[in-house]
Amino acid sequence: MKSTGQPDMGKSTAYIYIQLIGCVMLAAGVAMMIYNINVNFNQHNISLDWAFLMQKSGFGISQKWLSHNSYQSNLNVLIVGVANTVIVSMFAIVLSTVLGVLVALCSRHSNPLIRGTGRVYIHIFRNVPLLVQILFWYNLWVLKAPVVKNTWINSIIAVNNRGVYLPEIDTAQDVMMWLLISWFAVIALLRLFQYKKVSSYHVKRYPIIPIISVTICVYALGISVWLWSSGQLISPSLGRFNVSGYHIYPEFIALLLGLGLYTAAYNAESIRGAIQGVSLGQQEAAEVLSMSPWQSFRHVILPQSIPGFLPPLTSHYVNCTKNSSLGLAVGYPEVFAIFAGTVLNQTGRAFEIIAIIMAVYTVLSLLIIVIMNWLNSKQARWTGGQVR
Amino acid sequence: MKMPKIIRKLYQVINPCFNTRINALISCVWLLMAAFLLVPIIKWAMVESVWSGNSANCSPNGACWVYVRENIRHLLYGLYPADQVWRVNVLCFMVVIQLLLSWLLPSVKLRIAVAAVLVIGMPVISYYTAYGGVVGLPIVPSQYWGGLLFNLLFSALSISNAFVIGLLCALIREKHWGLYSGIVKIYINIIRGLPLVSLLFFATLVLPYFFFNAQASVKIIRLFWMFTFFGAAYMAEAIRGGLQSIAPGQKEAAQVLGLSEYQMTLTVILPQALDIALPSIMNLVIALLKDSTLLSTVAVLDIVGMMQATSARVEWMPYAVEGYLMIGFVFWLLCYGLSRISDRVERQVKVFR
Repeated sequence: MKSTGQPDMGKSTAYIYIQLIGCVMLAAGVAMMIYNINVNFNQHNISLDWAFLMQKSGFGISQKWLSHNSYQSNLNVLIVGVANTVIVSMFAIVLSTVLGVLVALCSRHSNPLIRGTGRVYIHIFRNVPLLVQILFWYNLWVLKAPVVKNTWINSIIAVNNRGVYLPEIDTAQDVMMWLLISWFAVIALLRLFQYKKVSSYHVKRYPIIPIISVTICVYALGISVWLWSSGQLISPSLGRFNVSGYHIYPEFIALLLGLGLYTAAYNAESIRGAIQGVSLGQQEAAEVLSMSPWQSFRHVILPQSIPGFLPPLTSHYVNCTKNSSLGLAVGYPEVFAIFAGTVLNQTGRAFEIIAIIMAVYTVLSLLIIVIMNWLNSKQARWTGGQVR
Repeated sequence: MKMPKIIRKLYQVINPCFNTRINALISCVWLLMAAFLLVPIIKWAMVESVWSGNSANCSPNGACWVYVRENIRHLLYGLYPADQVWRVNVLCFMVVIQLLLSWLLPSVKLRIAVAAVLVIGMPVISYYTAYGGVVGLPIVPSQYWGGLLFNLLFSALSISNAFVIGLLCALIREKHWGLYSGIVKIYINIIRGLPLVSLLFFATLVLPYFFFNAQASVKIIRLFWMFTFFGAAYMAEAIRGGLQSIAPGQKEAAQVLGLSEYQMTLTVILPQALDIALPSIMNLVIALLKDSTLLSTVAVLDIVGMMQATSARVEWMPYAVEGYLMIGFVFWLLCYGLSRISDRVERQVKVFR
C-alpha cells in the first residue's frame, strides 16, 4: 500500500480501461458537438467568417480614449473597446486599492466611530450586488445631478447630469509624449543607480516608490502650470445647449464608482485579515524597540502582512477586470458592451464574437496574474526588506 | 457610587471616542461631517418622503417610496399571472423547507436524502410547476417569470447543484485520474477566467448550436446550467482548498485502519475538508446569490430587470434611485443574514473539533 495520497491505480488494468472509456466518451462527445454545429450551421445557412472584422462599423463611440468613427472597421471597435476596458479597470483598481487600504486601517482604528465607519462600509458594499450598485450610481447621477441649465461650473471643472467636463488641452500631442518619455527616462536612470555600495556588507538603496510618486507629482504640477500660464488649457464653458470641454460621461463615472467601491470593500477585508494575521508579539516587540506607531506599521506589520494579502488582492483585481463587463448595463462602451453588444447586433456573428471576447478576457486576467506574481516575487524589495 | 446600568453602558461606548486628545478631535470632526452628510439624506429619505398615494404625490425633494409599494407585485413575481402566483409561493415554501430539513434533521442519512431530492428533483419539479402544462396547470412561458422570488429560487437550486458538481470536480481533480482530472482542470480554469456575463451571453446565443435541435432548447434551462457550472468551478476550487489542507497523517491513519479509498474519502477526508472549506463556500454562496442579478443582462426579468422595466414608465422614471436603494437593501439583508448564519455554523464547527 502506498502512503501518499496518490491512488494505487497506476498499473492496474481497470485504471487503463477507465481511461480508455473516458477517451472514447470524450471523442464521442466532441464529435457529436461538431456534428450538431455543422447541422445547425447548414440549417441556418451560416459559416464561420471573420471578414466582418474588416467591415466598417457604422457607428460612433461616445466615451473613448482611442480614435474611432463610423467609417472605421469593427476591428478598430474591438481595439477601442479593449482600451476602454483596460482604462476603467485600471482606474477602478487604483481607486479600490487606495480606498481599501484606507478602510482597512479605519476598521482597525482605536476610535470606535472610525472603526464602525470602516466596518459598516465593508458590510454595505460587500453585500449589495455590483450590478445594483452600478445602476444606482448611474441613476443617482443622471437624476439628481444639476441639469445643463444649472451646471455647476468653474474654471477647472463643470458638473451636470450629462457628466463631468475637464479642461481641454490645446497643444501638440507629441509634446505630451516627449514629457512622458522623459519621465520614464528619469525613472529608468534612478532605477539604474538605485543601489549604492556603502561598504562590502551594506548596500544602500534609494526608495523607488516615493521617488516615482514625487516625480509624478512634480511633473503633473509643472505641466499644468506651464499649460495654464501659456494659455494652452481651455476651461470648460457653458454654451446655450451644452458644455464644452473634455467630456467624461456618467456611464464611466458610474462604472468606476461601482467597481472601485465594491472591490475596495473586498480589498479592505483581505488587508485587514492579513494585518490581523501578523502576531501581536511583533507589534509589542516594535513598541519595545521604541518605534513610533507609523514606524512599526511601516517596517514591522506591513512587510509581514504583504504575503498575506497580495494573493487575495490579485484575485480581486482579476474579478474587478472581469466585472467591468457590467458596463453593458449602463452603456459604457467597454469591450463587452460594444463588441458583444453593438457589433454582435449589427453583424449577428455570435460564434466568432463570443470567442474573441472570451480570448480577450482570458488574456487580460492572465496579464494581471503575471504582473501580480512578479510583484509577489519582488515584494521583499518593494517593501524595503533587505536586498539580496 | 453605583451608576445605573444604562449610564455605565453609555459611558463604555462614549469614553473610547474621547479618551485621548487626538481621539476627541477625530470624533468631533467625524460628528460634524456626519451631520453635514446624513442630515440631508435623512431629510430626503424620511422627513420629506412620500409613503402613500400615487406618483402624483411625489416630488424630487423627498424619496418616493410609493414606487416600491405600487410595483411590489411585479418586483416580487415578475410578470407571472396574478391568479397563478400561488405556484411560485408553493415552490419557494418547498425549497425553504427542504433547505431547513437538510440542515436541521438529526440523522445524517435523512439529511442527505432531503438534499438529494433538493438537488436532483427540485429543478425538474420547479420547472414543470412554474411552466405548467402538467396536472391541468395552465402554461406560463418563461418570459413571464421574474422578480425577487425568481432570483431566490433560481440561485437556491443552482447553488445546491453547483455544490454537488463542484464537490465531484474537486475530488476528481485531487485524485489525479489522468484524463478525467485533466478535463476538470481545463474546465475550472476556463470558467474562472471569464466574466459571468460573457458566459450567460454564450448560453443565450451560442450554446443552442451545440444541441441537435437548436430551436427546442429552452433559454432558461441553458442559463440555469451555465450559472450552475459557473458556480461549480468556483465551488471546486473552494473545496479543493479544504482537501489540500488536510494533514497527510489522516490519510495514512485511515489506510492503516484498512479503509478502502472510497470509505476513506467519505468518512475521514470529506468531513474535515468541508469543515475547513466552509467559510469560503459560504462566501461563494453569497457571491452567487448576488450574481443572480446578472441574469437581467440577458433579458430575464429578475428583480433588477423588473426594476428597469417598471422605472421605464413615465410616471416612475424620476424615482429609479429609490427602487435601486430598495433592491440593495433587500440583498444586503439576505447576504448579511447568510454571513451571520455562516459565522454561527463556523463557530459550532470549531467547538466540535
